[in-house]
Amino acid sequence: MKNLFLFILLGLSCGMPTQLLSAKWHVGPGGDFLTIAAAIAAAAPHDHIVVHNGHYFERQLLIDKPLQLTAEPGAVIDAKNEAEDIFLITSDSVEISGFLLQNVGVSFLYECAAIRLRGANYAKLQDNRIEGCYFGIYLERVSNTDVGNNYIKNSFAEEVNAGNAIHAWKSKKLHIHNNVLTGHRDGIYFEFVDDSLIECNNSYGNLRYGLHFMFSNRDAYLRNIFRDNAAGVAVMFSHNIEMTANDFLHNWGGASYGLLLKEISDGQIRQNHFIRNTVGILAEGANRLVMSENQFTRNGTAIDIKGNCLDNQITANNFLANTFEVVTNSKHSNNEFKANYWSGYLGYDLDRNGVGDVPYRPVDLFAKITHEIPAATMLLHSNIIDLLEIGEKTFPQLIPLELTDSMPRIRPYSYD
Amino acid sequence: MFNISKIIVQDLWKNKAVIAYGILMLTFGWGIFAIEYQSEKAILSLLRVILFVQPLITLLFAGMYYYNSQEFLLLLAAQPIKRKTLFLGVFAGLSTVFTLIFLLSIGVPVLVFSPTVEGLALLLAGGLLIFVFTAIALLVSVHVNDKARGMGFALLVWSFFAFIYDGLLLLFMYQFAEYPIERPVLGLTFLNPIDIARIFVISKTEASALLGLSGAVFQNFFGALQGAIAAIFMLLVWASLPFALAYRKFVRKDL
Repeated sequence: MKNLFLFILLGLSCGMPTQLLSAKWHVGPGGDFLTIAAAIAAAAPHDHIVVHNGHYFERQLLIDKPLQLTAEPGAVIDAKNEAEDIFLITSDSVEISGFLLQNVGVSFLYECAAIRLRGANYAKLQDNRIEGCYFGIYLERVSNTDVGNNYIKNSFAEEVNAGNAIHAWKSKKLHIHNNVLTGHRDGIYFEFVDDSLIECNNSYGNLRYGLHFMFSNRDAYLRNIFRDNAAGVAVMFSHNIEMTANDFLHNWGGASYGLLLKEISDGQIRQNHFIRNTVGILAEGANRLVMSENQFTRNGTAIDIKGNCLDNQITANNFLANTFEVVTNSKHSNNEFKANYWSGYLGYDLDRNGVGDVPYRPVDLFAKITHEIPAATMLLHSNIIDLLEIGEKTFPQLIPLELTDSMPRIRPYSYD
Repeated sequence: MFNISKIIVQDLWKNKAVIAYGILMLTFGWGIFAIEYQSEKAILSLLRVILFVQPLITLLFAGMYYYNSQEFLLLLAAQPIKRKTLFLGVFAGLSTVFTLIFLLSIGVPVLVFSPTVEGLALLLAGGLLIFVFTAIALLVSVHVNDKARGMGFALLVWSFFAFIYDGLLLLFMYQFAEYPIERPVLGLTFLNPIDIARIFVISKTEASALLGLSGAVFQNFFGALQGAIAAIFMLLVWASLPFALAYRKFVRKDL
């Protein structure tokens, strides 16, 4: 308690003078400066620069002191398709908000971005619109930074020429929220980013992933929407990722999936909705994950879980009207399927306890046949397949015996 | 022709088997939408009915009706009525009744609860299958004079199209799995009206599972307009070919 009091006192004594001393500069016709670069050069640390309505053809704006830059409506910074950053921030505690940043060119030598943070902490990037830029926001060795309410849009045609909307590398404690990201390669790209929170973003129509994790640990993403990306979310080589209440919608195509899990462990996948994806979840080398209370509706394949996935718990999920419920390439299963609702379940519940009396095998024979002969997809819903299916369900020979849900639900799991 | 059809329709309308079949189909059609709140799943359940129950009933009932009304046909043939008119009348009467039952029991609920592309594809495919199997039934009955043998043969035809053909196709695919067999398989499905109808509807509904490497071949074909037209055309061929053959036989036959 005493420590806390001291901290508050310290905070007050440090914060108040800077607040009182900070000056406010106006940029624009009739303001203090005509260019933003001049204003940044002249400003003292902790000054506030207000950019007024107008077109500013500026780039490589180096911010190496703590400044607050806000734009009035109609303030546009245009890089004229040159392959250079618009803002390069190397100082802590910089705030940039309200800008429209556009036309950062594509380069194969340098990943130029509308806003780049390099080794800067405690930044706030909010309410910006970034259009037609190679990379939107680029975070390099950054921590404790808040990226919110930005709208980042491009219309790339090819993946190789495309940059990411929000790109974070070797960072930690980021908070990325309420952004709209579209038309880039990845909506959000995380590489070596730890302890971060991604929430309420809308990432759609990106060429590769809506959200992409590489080598990132202890992150969480909640309540995001991933729609119509080449693939919804890819989580690779990462540990302890929490994935909750996201919507994976209509990620559709020959090699598409809602959520790709590759070499990841100890994560949680809860209360997500997977609707109309070619593959809901594709898991390869995923270990000790808890998948519960998710909703899988009308996917081509709800879960494709490879034989190298161990000790995952798949419980209390609803599988509704998926063409294939579970697909695997192994005869064995080292994962636990329990208390899920399967719309393909035909069993009964004599004692009326809500749990089916007959175990359910979600892998069906047809999934196995099409795995071996892809051309057999032609026979989907054929009577002969239904007959074989009945025979196989009664006397299992080919489908993995161990992959069963021993207590399938009779009614769908209902959320609170 | 229309008079004969009218008489046949009126006769069939009072037939107990037709009434039972109508009630069965009505329960299917309306019941599935009452139970299933997801219309796409309901469409799939109805697809099963259309591919399984309907061809069987159409085949058996049309054949049976032909055999049972042989004396009536003989009587009419003694009148100054052309054989052509007589045969067309029988075919039109039978298919009208089946189409009416189909539209009332499955058509109306689909249009009410799920008036989507897949729903319309289902109705189109189901409607065409009625004509296909009525024609096949008449072909069988015209050729086989003995009722029991005729019915047995109709059953065989049904099980061939409903199960055996697909089983052979699966066997074929297993044998030639190492080869690029997508296109040959695509061609082979055209030799079975039930397969054409099934894939035509599925390509409109569960495109996701058909995607993937070889699914793309089918999807590109059936998903596109020309594929849909080809499927409908083939179903029409499947209806008109047995019809033409049965007609040829009927015109020359010693009744």
